[in-house]
Amino acid sequence: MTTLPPVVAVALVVAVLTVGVYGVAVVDRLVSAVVAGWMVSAGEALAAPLRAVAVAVTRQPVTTEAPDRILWVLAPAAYAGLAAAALAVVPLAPGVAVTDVRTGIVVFGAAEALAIVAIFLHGWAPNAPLPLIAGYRFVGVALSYELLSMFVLIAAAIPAESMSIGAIVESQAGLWNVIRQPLGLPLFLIVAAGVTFLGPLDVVDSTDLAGGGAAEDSGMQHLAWSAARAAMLIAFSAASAAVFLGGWHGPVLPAAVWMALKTAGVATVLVGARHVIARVSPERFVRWAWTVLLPLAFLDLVIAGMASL
Amino acid sequence: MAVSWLARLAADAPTPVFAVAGVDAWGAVQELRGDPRIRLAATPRHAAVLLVAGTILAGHGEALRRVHDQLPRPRAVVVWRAPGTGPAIPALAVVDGSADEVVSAVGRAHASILADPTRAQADLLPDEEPTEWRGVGPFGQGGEGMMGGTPYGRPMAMTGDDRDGLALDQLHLTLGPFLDPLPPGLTLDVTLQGEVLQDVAVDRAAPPVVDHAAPGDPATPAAAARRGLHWLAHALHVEGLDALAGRAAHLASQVAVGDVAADRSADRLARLVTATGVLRSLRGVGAVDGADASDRWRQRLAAIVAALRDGVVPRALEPAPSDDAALAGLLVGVTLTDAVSTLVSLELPGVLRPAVAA
Amino acid sequence: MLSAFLAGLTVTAAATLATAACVVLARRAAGAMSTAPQRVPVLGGSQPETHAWSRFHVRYYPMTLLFIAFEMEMMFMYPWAVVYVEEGLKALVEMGMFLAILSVGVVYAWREGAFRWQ
Repeated sequence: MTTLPPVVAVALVVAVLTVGVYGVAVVDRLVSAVVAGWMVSAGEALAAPLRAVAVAVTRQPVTTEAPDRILWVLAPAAYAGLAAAALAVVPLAPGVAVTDVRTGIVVFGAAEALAIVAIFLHGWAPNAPLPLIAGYRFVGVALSYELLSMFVLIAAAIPAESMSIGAIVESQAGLWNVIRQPLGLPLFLIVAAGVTFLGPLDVVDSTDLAGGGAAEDSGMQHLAWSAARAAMLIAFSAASAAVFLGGWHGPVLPAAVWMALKTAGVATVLVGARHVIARVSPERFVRWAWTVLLPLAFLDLVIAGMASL
Repeated sequence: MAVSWLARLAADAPTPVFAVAGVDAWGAVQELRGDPRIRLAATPRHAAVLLVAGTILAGHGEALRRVHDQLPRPRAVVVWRAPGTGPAIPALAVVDGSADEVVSAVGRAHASILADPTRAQADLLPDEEPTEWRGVGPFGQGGEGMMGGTPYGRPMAMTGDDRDGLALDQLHLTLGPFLDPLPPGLTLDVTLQGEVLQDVAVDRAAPPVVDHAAPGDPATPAAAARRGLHWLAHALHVEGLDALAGRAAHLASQVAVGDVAADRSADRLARLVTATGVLRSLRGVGAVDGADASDRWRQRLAAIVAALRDGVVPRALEPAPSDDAALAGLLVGVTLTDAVSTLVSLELPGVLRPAVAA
Repeated sequence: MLSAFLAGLTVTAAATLATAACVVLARRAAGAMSTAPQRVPVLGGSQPETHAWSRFHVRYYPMTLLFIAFEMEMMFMYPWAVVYVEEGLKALVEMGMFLAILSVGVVYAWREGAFRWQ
């Protein structure tokens, strides 16, 4: 177990999340331009996040009739805080983690579960019909994907004989979990898409409800929410890299570089999925999650168990 | 100084626009999704500029003013191809010309309100609570106990029966006429319990125009393809695929100028749309006469490709269901999610048809 | 151990407070409150008749009960995963039985239509 002094820890998480959120915005611009068939210069893509911030800062944050003001502020704050908490237990290089506690996957899972509350309350807070409906339908989806995450993380803990994410990375020195437990990563990516509601699970801030949970957010309120969402995406990308893709293991390059590359790779896949995979209707996903994905998660557990006998 | 630097940075971003379009300009507005200089927002809250395009019916004046006021400040209005008969709305710029001109005007309007917020447009409706705040009851909620109050101007929802025997609250909502995911000019009066529609009344802006030989009907393959691509751009946007919607809209503008490469692009676009899985996810949604939303998407995609590649004017889709009551019946008992997907997939007479006639 | 959680808590608190501060400061800086017509919820130009907050009909409630059954089971799985390699086949069989019983619940809920709400 490693732990950094609080000041260094905060600096590390702020740095990773800032670079990560910025990178997500840049990649999003690039991918959407490619899919739309537009030309976009590198400079333009790099400037896009700054310009988006400038637009948000110059807009008025609107309130609705009798909203829950405290929750409206707390929802993006809690979502961002949970992203930081999730990232805190993921080691970024050997011995470099904010706090690689023995119960790493439990903390990660708790952050993920509490994010459901933050996302629901964000839809609840404005006291407006469309965000409220988006919030409720998200909870149905969330309770269905949540189990998958627990099963695949527990499966990864079996060969490591530990719930620490650092130990899980070490257990992949010979063979990465993505090969040893082939169902783990795809299922975990579905969970990541759910927690950051993108691509097939874009059921929260979705256009079919005129912006859904974010339909009443404007200016900084909307920017904070989008940034928190990108931060959560980074936390999940880092966890995917550590738990399934061997973390810092890799030839030639330094450990931290491998971890950064793998995290960026997973984040790019997730951002890309947002533009090329259509939304699945929430009801259909619930049915599918319980009848197809959950048995697949059991299978993942059996595979992990058999391989560790 | 810092402020002007921020204003310049913001002005260089794609301008967030909320578009309110009459049925005659709806297609042209969808085509704007292909322009990277602006971004059509799903809600007025995300927008800086309100684009009012085409003929807005006099009866929708109140709704237009309400949407206008919902934009966060500072806001600007750009009016495009207005016939001068609809409700009057103060505008920063009035454009009659091409899509390119209106996009430039939108960008200039955004830059202008950023540079000088005093140029931004004030609310159109009076600053009054919808109902007087009464302040009675233990929490000042206005009523007795849990019932009858109008806290902050609106009453609380009341219960209604449901088929599973739980009498929970019903939300009575009017969606539209300017709700982004709905087809143009469509207003839905719905009773929701949970996410499921219990009761629906449909109101269409224009009387159904079923005359296929109306002047300007898409008689040429190019016109038919363009109209199909306008539909596709909006439908992809609603299904959460904005970047692909941009591609469809861009293709529509290429078709408009007679670009010969368009037929190959159409093939590719249809393949990309299929690859997103949208056809699979719409299977079983909103079935009319044995054809569901997925089938209708497939037909429309095939019609676009046929028009561009083979120069065939596609046979018009069956405008189904033909009357408002049948349309409403199709939506009762399904989730709001599926209701929106159903409406988007349908060919609604009186909603899309006059687009070319005008 | 305490210092480990202190570091984690500090990071979480820092991210929460920074985000909350951004939103609160922006709301303060905007000054004047939203006007009454601005505050009307977005419905595409219409007014809502009632407040949105209501006793919402959550149609997936049978599924949430099933979820709780599994969620409790997770508690046992965490320590199980750590000792699995030590215990070997016995651990696999035991958890297999446990999951099989819970799976019967899923099959039953599926048959009863707990996963559809239209």
